[in-house]
Amino acid sequence: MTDSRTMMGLRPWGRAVLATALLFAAAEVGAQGGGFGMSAAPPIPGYEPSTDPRDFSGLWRSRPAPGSFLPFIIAGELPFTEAAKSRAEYARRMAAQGTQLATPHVMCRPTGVNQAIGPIAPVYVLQNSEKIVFIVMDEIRDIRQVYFADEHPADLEPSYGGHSIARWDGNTLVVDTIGYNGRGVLNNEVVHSTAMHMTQRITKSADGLTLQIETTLEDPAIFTEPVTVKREWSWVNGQQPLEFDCEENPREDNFSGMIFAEEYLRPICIQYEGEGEELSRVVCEKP
Amino acid sequence: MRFRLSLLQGLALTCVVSATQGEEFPREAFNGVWLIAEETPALRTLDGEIPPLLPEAKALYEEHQRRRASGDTYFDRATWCAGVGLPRLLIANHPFEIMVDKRQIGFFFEWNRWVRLVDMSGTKLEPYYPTSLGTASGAWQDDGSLVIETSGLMRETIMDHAGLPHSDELVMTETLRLIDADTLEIQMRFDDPLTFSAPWETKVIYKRQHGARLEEDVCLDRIKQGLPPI
Amino acid sequence: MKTKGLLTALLLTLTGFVPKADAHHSIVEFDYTLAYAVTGKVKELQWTNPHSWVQVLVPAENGETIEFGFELGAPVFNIRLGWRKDSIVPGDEVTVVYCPSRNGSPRGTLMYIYLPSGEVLPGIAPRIYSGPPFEDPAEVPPPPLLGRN
Repeated sequence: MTDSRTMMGLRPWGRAVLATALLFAAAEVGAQGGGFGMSAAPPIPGYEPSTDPRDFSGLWRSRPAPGSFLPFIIAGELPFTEAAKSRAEYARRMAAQGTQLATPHVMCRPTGVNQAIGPIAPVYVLQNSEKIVFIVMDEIRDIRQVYFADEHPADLEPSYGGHSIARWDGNTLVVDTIGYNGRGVLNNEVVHSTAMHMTQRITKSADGLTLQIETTLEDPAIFTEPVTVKREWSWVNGQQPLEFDCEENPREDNFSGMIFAEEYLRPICIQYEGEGEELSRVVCEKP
Repeated sequence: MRFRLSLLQGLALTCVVSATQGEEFPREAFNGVWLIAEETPALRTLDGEIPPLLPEAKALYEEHQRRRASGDTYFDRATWCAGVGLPRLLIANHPFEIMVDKRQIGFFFEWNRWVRLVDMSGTKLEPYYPTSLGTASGAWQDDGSLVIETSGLMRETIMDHAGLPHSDELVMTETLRLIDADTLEIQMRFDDPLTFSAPWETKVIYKRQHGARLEEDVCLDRIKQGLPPI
Repeated sequence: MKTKGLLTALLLTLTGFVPKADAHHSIVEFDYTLAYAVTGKVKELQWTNPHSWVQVLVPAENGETIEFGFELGAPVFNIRLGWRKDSIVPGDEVTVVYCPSRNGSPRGTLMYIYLPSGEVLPGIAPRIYSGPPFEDPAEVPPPPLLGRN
């Protein structure tokens, strides 16, 4: 019998992630090549894999790392700095008390390196001679534009997702990303800093069914040395894009017991349930 | 003299003919960042009239305007950064980028990072369930224009800032046309028998934003700083 | 294929842990070892992200009405479980079996909802529930909140 006391204290968004994970894991076990059983959306035509090694366009889904069940988990024995370890410990202590330390991801912000490595949602990729665009819609939305260029712009505005440029090394796409705003997440506990520098080498298999992605992360604020993470993304035969509107229902229950170590994460709009027959309503305080 | 005039007239005629044929713009010419040329807080028909609302919808529209005037914006889900959907994202004062790809056409809206993928396979897709952006299928026409049909638009959004309501039955048909290399025209047709007494159309003009790139927009960060949500 | 070890590993790795043999113990918001049943009238279905919710008005023993809130997944998940946006409408008389909130509030995570049509829709909780099995909602006790125990 499952011992529920072994579960970590998961607040509503954490439970949504758990549910996704369980569905994903169940589907992963039952998956039979060419797609994942978790596909909730109806299929759409026109998705034939291409054998052009430099054509990454289409629809992909990240497979978990070996030894894990969830693609977006970037954990294990990583060389964290003391600051990163102490933040992670704090998050776990809070969870053990039945509360949750708010993270940017849990509070509907774009994800930083996490979703560039192993997103739990499928990734639509559009490509032309100027850029490759990685799009996540069934999770917190990311439009990750990777420009074919030799240099980052001088006037870079820091952002959650950073700024990406790429060049070809043979048929391997080498992507360089900097310009993070210090609010992107590595995983559910660790937020990476503005110094994060992510390099990715992406190679497509000859049959067009797999992208091998080798990601190197350098961030002296969280890692004592560079870290390399490997993932495979598998081809998916077209699905209707769905929507995940994270901000849609800022329900009071979502935030009860949540700890906001960073004030910018505390919500100013909350949905309250009405009394009696009165329906729920959103109330925003003046910031 | 007469020869030269005739030559000039002949050249002029050729230019006019080329422009109306619409052949001079390849599909990739739609690529780029676009911004609405004129602020459009309220949709009007081609004749400049308020759209033909059925009585109940008209009452709701008027209530929305009263509420906004009194400072109560909670009928507008943009207030808390929830998705504002279509057509609002196409007429908001925020740029969007079009990217023509082989399987679909991407509309990347700067506002809160919304993405619309228009399926170009020629299959009429059925909406899985109503969403803010709906489900869109598109096709290129012989004259170089692009026609997109969108349905499955959830009724919880409003069509414009003024609060024009719609139902889940709304079908939006857009015809995109390049007037010149830097000017995009979208003619929109709205068919919603639960809201309007008849289908109606409007036309919106966008200007190309040369050299621009979309910013990463995070609405929740903006409202936290006291900036308007949209 | 979900075993206790697999589930534990999943949950621990969710927050970036390396799975260890000695599992952590913690207090959680919902008690997945318990199930309660209530019958009442649907007030509102919030078909929303990141969670959908069903609000149900339930008569208590003392004649008052208590509003219960039951959490579901996001629409993207619910669709997979057979839900549609119009699966329930305000006014529907329903029975809900749920795992309750640990703090005693009228909140829970939905296990099953029994609709007037006879249809039964699940939430996410059945996959995690570890309490006594049941075949019928009539076997499931009402919550202490209603004052009937």
